[in-house]
Amino acid sequence: MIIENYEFPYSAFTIPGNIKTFDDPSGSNSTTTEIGYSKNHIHIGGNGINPKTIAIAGSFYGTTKNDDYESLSKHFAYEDTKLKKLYWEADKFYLGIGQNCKKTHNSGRTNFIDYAASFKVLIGQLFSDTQKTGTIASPQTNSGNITTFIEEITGTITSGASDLTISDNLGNEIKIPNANLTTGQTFVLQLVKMIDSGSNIYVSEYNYATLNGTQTKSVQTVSGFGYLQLEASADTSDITISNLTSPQIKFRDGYSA
Amino acid sequence: MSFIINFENSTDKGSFETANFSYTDKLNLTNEAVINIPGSNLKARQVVTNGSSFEIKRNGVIELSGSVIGVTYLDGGGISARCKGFEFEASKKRVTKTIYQNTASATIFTAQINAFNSSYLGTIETGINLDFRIDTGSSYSNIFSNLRKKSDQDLEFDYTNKLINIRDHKGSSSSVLTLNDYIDISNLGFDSIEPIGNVITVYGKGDGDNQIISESTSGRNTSSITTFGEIEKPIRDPTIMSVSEANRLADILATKYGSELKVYTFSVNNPSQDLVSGDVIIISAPEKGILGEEVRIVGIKRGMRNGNEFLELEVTNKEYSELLKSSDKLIGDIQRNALDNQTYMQGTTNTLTFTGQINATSAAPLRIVGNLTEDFIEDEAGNIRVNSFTVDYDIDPFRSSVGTATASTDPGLDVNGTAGDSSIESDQGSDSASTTLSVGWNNNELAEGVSGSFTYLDIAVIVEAGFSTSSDIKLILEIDEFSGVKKEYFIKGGTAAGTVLINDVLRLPVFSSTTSTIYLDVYTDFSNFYDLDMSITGVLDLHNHDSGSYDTDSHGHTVSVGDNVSDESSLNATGVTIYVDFWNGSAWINKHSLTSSSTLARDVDISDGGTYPDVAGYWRTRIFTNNTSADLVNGIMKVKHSMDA
Repeated sequence: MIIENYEFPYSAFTIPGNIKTFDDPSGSNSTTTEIGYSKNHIHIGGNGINPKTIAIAGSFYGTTKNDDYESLSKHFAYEDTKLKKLYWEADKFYLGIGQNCKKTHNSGRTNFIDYAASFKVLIGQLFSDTQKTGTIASPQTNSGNITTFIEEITGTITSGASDLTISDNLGNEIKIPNANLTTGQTFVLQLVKMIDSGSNIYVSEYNYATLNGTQTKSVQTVSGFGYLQLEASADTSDITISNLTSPQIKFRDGYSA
Repeated sequence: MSFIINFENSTDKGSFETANFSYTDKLNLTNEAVINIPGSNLKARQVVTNGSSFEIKRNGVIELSGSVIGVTYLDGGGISARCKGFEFEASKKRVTKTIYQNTASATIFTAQINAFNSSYLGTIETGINLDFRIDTGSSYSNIFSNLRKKSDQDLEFDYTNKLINIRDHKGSSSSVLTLNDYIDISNLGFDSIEPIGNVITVYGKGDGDNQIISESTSGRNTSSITTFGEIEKPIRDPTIMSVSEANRLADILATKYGSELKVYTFSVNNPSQDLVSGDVIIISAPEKGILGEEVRIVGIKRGMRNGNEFLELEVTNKEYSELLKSSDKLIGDIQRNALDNQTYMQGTTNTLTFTGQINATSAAPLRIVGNLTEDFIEDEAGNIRVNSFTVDYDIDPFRSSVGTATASTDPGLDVNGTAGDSSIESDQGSDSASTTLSVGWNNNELAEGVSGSFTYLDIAVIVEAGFSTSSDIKLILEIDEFSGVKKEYFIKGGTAAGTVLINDVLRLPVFSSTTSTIYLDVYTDFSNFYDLDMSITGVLDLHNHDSGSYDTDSHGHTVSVGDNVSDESSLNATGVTIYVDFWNGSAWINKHSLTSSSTLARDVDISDGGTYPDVAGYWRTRIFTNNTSADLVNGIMKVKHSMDA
C-alpha cells in the first residue's frame, strides 16, 4: 500500500509488508422513507456514497521500523492540510485526508511496532492512477466501471464577450459570466483543491477555477450539482465547452470499491 | 481561522479561548455576540462583567467590538456573556429636539453623530436634501435609522476605529463571489413571498383630514402593479412634516417593497469567506430554481460551535435588503412606533372666527379684522399651518338698529383697540355760577364752548339751593336755541340750604360745530339764591338712530345671520365683492378679491387657492354689496389652523 500527496511534491511512502487488516466500508448516501403498514416504501438516491473511513492495521519491524512509523504517521496524522492518495491497488487510489495514526505497544513484541491508522475518503470511489487527457477531437474514454469526475479542464478564453460554459451528458453544467472574462486568459478548472483560508488553515474547495493563475469565484452552477462527470465507457466528446480555445479535459477512470 | 476574544474593564483585561461563541454582522442593525467561556475561571469572572468592553478578532482584524450587556453564570464556573456592538450606546441616549428644513442629510448625520459622540464621527457620504424632524422622545439610534431610510443610505460601523460611517451602499454593490448549492453552501432555505406593497401611502404628522399624506401619484411601483396587481401598504411615520417628504419616502419604499421578496438562508461550507453585510453575491441552486441570482447579504452570523467554525448567511433580493426580523425585533419596532406616535405632535385643529355686522353698500363695506398670530397659525418650524381661510356672509334688508358702514376710504388699523368702539367721549368743559334767580326765565345763566362732531352732547347739570323753604319749587332747564332739550322739575317743600335740587343730564343730539356755545336757561317760580353747575361731554357713537331723526324708540341690537327681522322689505343688493387685505404695519394691502352673485354663502374660500394667509398678522375681509343703497351685511371670517406645540 502506498500513500502519497495528491499534489507535488508527492512524498510517496510505501507501507512495507502486508497490511494485516483493512477495513473499507462503502454505504450508499440515500434516504428511505417508510410508508406505515405498507410493503412498499419511498427511496431517494443520487448515486451518493457515505463518507468512507478506511482503517488499516499492521506492523513495522527491522531496522527501519521507527522511520517507517514516522513516515506513516506524518501522512496519516500530521498533514491534514494536504489531499492524499491512498493506493488500494497498485494502480487505483482513494482521494482523501489522513485522519489518525497510533502505535500500540505489546509486551513481548519489542521488535515490532504495531500500528493502526485511518483515512477519510473525500470522494467515495477509486481513481485510476493514470490521468487521461482528452480533447474534443481526440477523446479519451472512461474505462472504469462507474461514472468518474472530470479532474481538470484547461484552455484559453476565446472571447471576453461571451460566457464560458461547460456541460456533461449527465445534466451538469457550469458557467463563468463574460463579465469576469478577458480574451486570452488562461483558464484552469480543478475538481478539488485545498486552499489556505488564512493562518494556515486549509479548506477543500470544489470547482476551483483560476484565470491567469488567480482564483475566480464566479463559477456558477447552471444545472445539476455542478460537478462535471463522465459515465463509464463514455468519452470526453460528451463534454461540451464553449468559449475556450484548445481545451484539455483530464480525468481518471472511476472504479467502485 | 484564528479567533481572539478580548475583554477589558477598569480592573482587569484578558484574552479568552472558547469553542462556543457567535457574533453577527447585520445590515443597518445593531450587532451582537454571545460568548461562552467554559470552566471555573476567576480571571474570567473578574473581567467579564456588565459594562466590560469586548472585541472579537478574526485573523487579527477586529470584527466586532462593544460592551457586555449581560452575564449568565453557569454550572462549573461557566460564563455566557451577551454583548452588543458599540453602536448600541446610541439607543440609550435621547436626542435634543431639532427641526431641519431642506437640509443635506450629510449635515444632519454629522450634527447628530457629533451630538451623540463626536469621536464616533466617520465618513458621511452625500445623500439628499430633506426636511427632518427630531423630537426628544427619540434615541440617537432611532434617528440614525429613520434618517438613513429617508436618504436611502446604509449605516456602517467600523469596529476597528469605532466610527459610524454613512454609505450610499455598504459592502460591494457588485458581486464579490458566487456560491453554488452542493458545492459552496449547504442547508439552503429559500422563501419567495409576494411583494409587501406596490402602492405605498405614507402617513406623516397630524391626524384626521389635516394629516400629512403622500400623494396618490407617488409610491407606485408600476411594473410590480402590472405583475401582481395593486397591493396597498400604508406606512406611518409621524416624523414626516411635509407632503414632499412623504412622497419621497413613498417612492423609496415602492421600489423596496414592490419586488417579490426572496429570502435565502444557508450555511457556507468554507467559513473562512471574507464577507460583510451589504455585499452583493450570486447564488446558484438549479434544484431550487435559483440560477445565478444576484442577492444582497443582510445578515451574517459566524463563530464556533463545539470547536467547529461556522458561517451562516441570510440574503435577500437586492431591492429589499432588509434582515427578516425576529419576534423580539418586531416587538421592539412596535414599541418604538408607539413611542413615536406618542411623542411626535399629532396636530389637532382649531378654528378662529371673527364676526361683523353692519349696513353696507357698494361704497362702504362690512370690515372684519382678525389678528392671526404666530402662536395660532405657525408650527414649530415657522410653517404656516392654515388649513382653510373662508368667510360666511348673509345679506339681509337694511336694519336701522344696526350701524351704517363708514365711507369707503380705509380707516387705519389702531392696534390699541379703540377702533370700532361703540362710543368715544370727549370732555368739552364746564361752567358754574352762584346767583340769584328771578321768578321766570333766567337766560344764559351758564355757558360753555363746544367744538367737534358728536353723536350727542351730554350736559350734566347740578342745581343746589342756597336757601331754606317749606314751599314747593318748580324749576325748568333748557338748552338755549335747542327748545327740544328741556326738562321740568317739581321739588316738594322742605328744602334746606345746600340741598341738591337737580342732578341730571340733558342730551343734545347730533352736534357738529367747529366752535359753538352751549347756554343753559333756568326757569324758577321761587326767586332766591342758587348754585349752578354744568359739565358738557361730547359722545361719538356708531349707533345712529334712524336715517334722519334723532328720536328713537327703545330697540335691541341682537342680530343673527339669516335673521328675517329688518326695516326694509327687500334686498337692494344681488351680490357681493369680497376683498382680503393684510396690514403691513402702516397700511392695508389688498391681497385678493372675488365677487359673488349670491347674497348668502358659507365657507367661501378667500385664501386664493391656499395662498393666504401667508404670514401671521392682521388680516381683514371687506364685504361690499353691489348696490348703492344699504343692506345689512353679516359676516364671519374663519381661519382653521393646525395646533402645534
